[in-house]
Amino acid sequence: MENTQGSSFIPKNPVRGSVKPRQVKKVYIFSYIAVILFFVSLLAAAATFFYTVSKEAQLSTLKEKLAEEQTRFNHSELIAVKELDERMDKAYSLLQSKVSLQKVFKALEETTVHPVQIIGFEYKKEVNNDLNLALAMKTHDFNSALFQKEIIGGSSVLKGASFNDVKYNEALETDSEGGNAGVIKGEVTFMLTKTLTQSDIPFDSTAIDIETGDSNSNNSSEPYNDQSSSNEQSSVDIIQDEEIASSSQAVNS
Amino acid sequence: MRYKLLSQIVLILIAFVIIFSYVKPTLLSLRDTQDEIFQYTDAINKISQLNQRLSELVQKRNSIPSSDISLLESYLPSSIDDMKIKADITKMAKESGLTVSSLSSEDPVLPGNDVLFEGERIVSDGTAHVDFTVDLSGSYESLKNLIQLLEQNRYPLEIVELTFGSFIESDDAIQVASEDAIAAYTLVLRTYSYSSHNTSSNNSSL
Repeated sequence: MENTQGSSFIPKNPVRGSVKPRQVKKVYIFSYIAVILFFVSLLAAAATFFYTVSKEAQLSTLKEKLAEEQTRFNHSELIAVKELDERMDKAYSLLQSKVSLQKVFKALEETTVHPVQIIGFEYKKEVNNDLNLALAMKTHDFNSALFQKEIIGGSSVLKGASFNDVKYNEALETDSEGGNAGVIKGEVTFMLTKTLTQSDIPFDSTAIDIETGDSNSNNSSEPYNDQSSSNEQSSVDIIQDEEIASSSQAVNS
Repeated sequence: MRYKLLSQIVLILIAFVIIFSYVKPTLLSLRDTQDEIFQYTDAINKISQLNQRLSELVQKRNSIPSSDISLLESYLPSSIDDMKIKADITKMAKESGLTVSSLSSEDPVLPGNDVLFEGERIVSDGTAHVDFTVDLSGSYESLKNLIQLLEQNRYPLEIVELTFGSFIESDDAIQVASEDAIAAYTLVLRTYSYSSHNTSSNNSSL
């Protein structure tokens, strides 16, 4: 039994299978970045192209729509409406600032006391719409003048008027033949001035129509029609202020 | 290996060329396009609103009776017919029982001219006006009748100035107080016109 193993067919070394060498995959980050960058740029270019096309299409659609709206816009109608609106505004403001001088006369008739005489009357509308009233008055004594002043103080129109330029003269009274009657007559003259405003003497068509019904018959005969017969309208007629005012307010609103 | 590196560099270069030569300038120009789109959208909205408002106003204008429109045009005409107004004033004076001794008109005062009055700037209201000076004689009652007619006229004949009697004491002046006495009166009457063309041309000249 010596060395039986020497003839053994079993190899002394263990059997080694053929082991394949492990393959190492090389990853090139740089090449990935390059490819990604390339494709991203292509995609961006394509997206930009389509976005541009869509925006230009949108713009041209808007241009067409604007042109359409512009053709729909009627400039002459706008001018006509604007002119009517402005005309109404002006007419309304004229009506609003309209004053009635009849109220001044009415106030004077109501407040002038018997011994006082109005010897001069001046009414003037200034550029700034102030209405200046100046009256020259005359009476025989200061008592009448003072009474007149007191009465005027109670008038809604003439209240606050100032009395100035007061003068007193004494003269011999003349008789009917121009001779000396031998009686000394006193004369007090003074000026009454007041700056009126539109609210002091506003024009009120309805009030005046009622108060002066007789005189309205002058209007009803339409006496001033002959100059404007072509349009078959009386050029002088009672104006329908309220109609104009209401129409103008309607449009203004 | 060298070929691969070269191709990568070329790819990157192409990418940069695409981005900087096309994408970036196109996006920049798109910003302008976008602004234009906003402007056009805004303009379209505005013009649509304007069209809608205009059609509403036209409807409103059409709803005003033509009689009212003609009243308005009589009250504030586009132009002043000097001769017609003089004829009307004369007719009204006669109707009131007054005698016209003279009647004249001044040059029209066009709108758009602001006036300085006692240091105060009076802004023009956009209307043109003409003043008519008329000298009359008659009774006080006749004068009141005339004033009533003037105030109720279809178009404004505003009394700008009225003087009668005298501020210098005299026997003639004292007669004014008597109702039946004949006195002399001076009236300045003003009438107005409105024309949008006048207004715009005057404003533009300012």
